[in-house]
Amino acid sequence: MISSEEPLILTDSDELLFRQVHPAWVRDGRPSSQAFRPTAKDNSRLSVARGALTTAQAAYEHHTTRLGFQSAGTWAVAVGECRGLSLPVEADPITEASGQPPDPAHAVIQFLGLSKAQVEAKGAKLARFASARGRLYPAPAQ
Amino acid sequence: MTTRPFAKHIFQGRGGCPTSVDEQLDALRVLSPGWFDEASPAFEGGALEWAAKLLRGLVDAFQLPNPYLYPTPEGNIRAEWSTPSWEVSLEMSPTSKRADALATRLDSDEVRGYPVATVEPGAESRLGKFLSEYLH
Repeated sequence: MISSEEPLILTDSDELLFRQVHPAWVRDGRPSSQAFRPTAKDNSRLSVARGALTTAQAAYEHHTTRLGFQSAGTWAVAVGECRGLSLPVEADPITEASGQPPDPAHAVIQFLGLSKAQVEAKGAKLARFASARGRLYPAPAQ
Repeated sequence: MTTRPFAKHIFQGRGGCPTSVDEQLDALRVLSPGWFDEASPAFEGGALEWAAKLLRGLVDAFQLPNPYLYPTPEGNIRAEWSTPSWEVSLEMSPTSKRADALATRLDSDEVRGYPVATVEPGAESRLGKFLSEYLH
């Protein structure tokens, strides 16, 4: 029997994972690879929002309006792209009990046990996937 | 009148980012302390001048594409380039005067790093040669 505490690893390769990018990390529409790897304080886990449970617009509004952070918009990578880089994606819903605004769509891309160079390299590859897809919200100006 | 600190030295690399390095560094100048998190510092003029000089030397001397520039939460300046086969970055630390280059091949696990102390004789030339290998 699977315990309810067992982490839920996402397996639908097509599911999009929405990522908010700080305005200083977008230059001429190109997001920095820094936006697609955890910072030193992130414990090797990169926060994303599950495309199966939210939208690019709702993820942006949660990040900016409810959490009060800055964002230049929503970019996305797919679960399959993460798995192709040996980066497991785990559902990590935030409940009211945490004291933070609840976010059932919250998930994390795990960068565990990697060297600094490996983290950077995988982040650069995720950034390339996200750049190819383009900003999903707000839609880029035509 | 608005003055641009690097206006005398405007340079534009070959391809890459459409915005000049000087304009991109000017954009970092306006970031306030805490721009990313409580620990992220502002960028002092001297730090930006140092990065401008290093980048100017590399881009001009080695005919590199114009880099995309970004701040890091630690106060470093990060240049990034994308090519069909590689993602290349150069993280420059104004405090330690170190520069760490990294080239990541997109279709394999190949990753090549090249850290240099820019104050060492010949460091800029070696760094330029490393970057040229992946950007040309």
